[in-house]
Amino acid sequence: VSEQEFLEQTAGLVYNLALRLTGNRSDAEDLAQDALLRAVRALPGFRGDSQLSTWAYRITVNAWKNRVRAEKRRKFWSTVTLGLVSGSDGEKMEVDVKADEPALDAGLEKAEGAAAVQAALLTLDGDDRAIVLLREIEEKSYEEIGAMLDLPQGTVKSRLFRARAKLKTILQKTAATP
Amino acid sequence: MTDETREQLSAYLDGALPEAERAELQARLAASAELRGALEDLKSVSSAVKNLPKAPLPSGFMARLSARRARGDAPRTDWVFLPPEVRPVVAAMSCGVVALAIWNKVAVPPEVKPVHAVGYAPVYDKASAPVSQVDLAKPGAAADLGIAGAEAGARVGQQTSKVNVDSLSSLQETAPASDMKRVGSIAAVRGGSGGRAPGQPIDGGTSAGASELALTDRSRTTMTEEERSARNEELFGALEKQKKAMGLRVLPRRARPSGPSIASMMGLPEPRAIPAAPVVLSAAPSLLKSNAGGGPASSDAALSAAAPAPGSGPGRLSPDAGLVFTDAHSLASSWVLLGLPGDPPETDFTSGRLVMIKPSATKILSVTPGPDAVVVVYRSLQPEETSDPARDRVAPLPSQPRTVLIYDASPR
Repeated sequence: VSEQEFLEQTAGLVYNLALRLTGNRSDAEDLAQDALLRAVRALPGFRGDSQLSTWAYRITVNAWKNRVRAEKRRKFWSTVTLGLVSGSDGEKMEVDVKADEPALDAGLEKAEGAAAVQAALLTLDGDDRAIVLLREIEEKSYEEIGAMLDLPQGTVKSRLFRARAKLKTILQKTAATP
Repeated sequence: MTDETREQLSAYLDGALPEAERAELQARLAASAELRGALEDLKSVSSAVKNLPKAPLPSGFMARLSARRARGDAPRTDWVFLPPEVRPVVAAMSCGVVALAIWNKVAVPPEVKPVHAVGYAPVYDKASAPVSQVDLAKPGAAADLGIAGAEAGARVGQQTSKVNVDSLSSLQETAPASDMKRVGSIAAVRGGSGGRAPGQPIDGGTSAGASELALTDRSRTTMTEEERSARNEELFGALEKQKKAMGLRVLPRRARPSGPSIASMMGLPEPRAIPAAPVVLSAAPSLLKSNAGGGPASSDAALSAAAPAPGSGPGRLSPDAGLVFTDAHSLASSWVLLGLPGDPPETDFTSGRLVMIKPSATKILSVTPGPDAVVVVYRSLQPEETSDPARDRVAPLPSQPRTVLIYDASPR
């Protein structure tokens, strides 16, 4: 498959996955473009032992996990640095990594409750969010998800169950809130 | 209902249960309304996520991607461990270490090439230089020759035992003791490995060189001033000749090892020296506000009168007595470095400069712009006077002319 064909086939899929992983359009485009650039560079080495879309998803999820890790490190060091400078013990300086991730624009969410679902997704930690999205939206099997995330199938199964349970709790709370 | 059962339900929903487990769970579902309710909950969550709308690619997405590909942009790397705000500090420290390493490398004192193929002596910076490299013509330098000269001589002597100093022999017979210190270094050269050790008396007769220089208090009392002076001249001439023959050279004052300065390596501007130029002083301090009011003006007037009149110079030119600042940061840094109390005065550097007198217990008397230079006159405080550096030792300075002359008008 040529680079152009690959991009035409996968750009939309990658962007949508990135959109659900990051929760906002700008980060989604940034992540999707980075993932596609990586994929294009690695395309000559693609052996065809999985679907092209699965391979692109894997690259996207890995790029996103790297960003989450880097962001956590950055927040950690910011906290430590600020704590040293201010003399605080650091606990008060703890920052919620997800706190500054805005929800999707209201106009984007046409389905009823989609914004609430997206917000609930953003409460899941990195791997759990990816597992839910790859399973529910991309309909990947446990085996494929495990391969993408370097996780055993049993772990995928248990984490998917816990993520669904957490989403259910949050969505029920949201529905109960007037 | 256990978590294990709920997990089974989740896997059942995905069709991921083994056949045996699936059959068993189906049987339990048929029998339990609670299980069926839990399964429905999981289904609703699953469908809520599944039904999230698909978003179209943003307008221009592919064009921007193509542009990045055309530019050869690398994907963003997130491997950097340090946060952005810490990186400049670490980078600066790294640069500092590298700069110091380079400086240490390039600042090694150069060595003098061998002369007459008899070896060579290293050239040192002034602080550690043996006396053979000290300016002998400088008054007082000869007093240091006794020890350091012997060190240098011994060092050279270890490398060459054939340095020709025979011409000195006759000179060494009657030299006064003070002169023999100078001769000591030459004697040590001649004596080779038998050179006099530092501090060893040259008239003790214990070394080969010193044994030939058994000149002591006799000449001190028998020689006239004229004879002693003539002898000194001869000795100096002979010593210079030997130094030249050995390749020893006199370092110029404040000579620095060749190589770039730290400032140039760091890309910083070289420190500016305050230029000095003759200027005609005009009277009437104009810019110094502290002198415009009352108070200390009366005592200043008395002391100003002690200073030479304008036109003949306001006092002793003291180019190192002051600092000129063009920005508040430098002023604040110097204020702290000089250990001055309180804060530096607020100054508007957009319209001028500021001069600060470095010696403590001083007071600026006047700041007078002339056609070629600004003349700053200061004096030492009297014992009964109190000092306020922010008021007494700093004064605004016009931007032009650039040259600043600082005079000390303290009574001698």
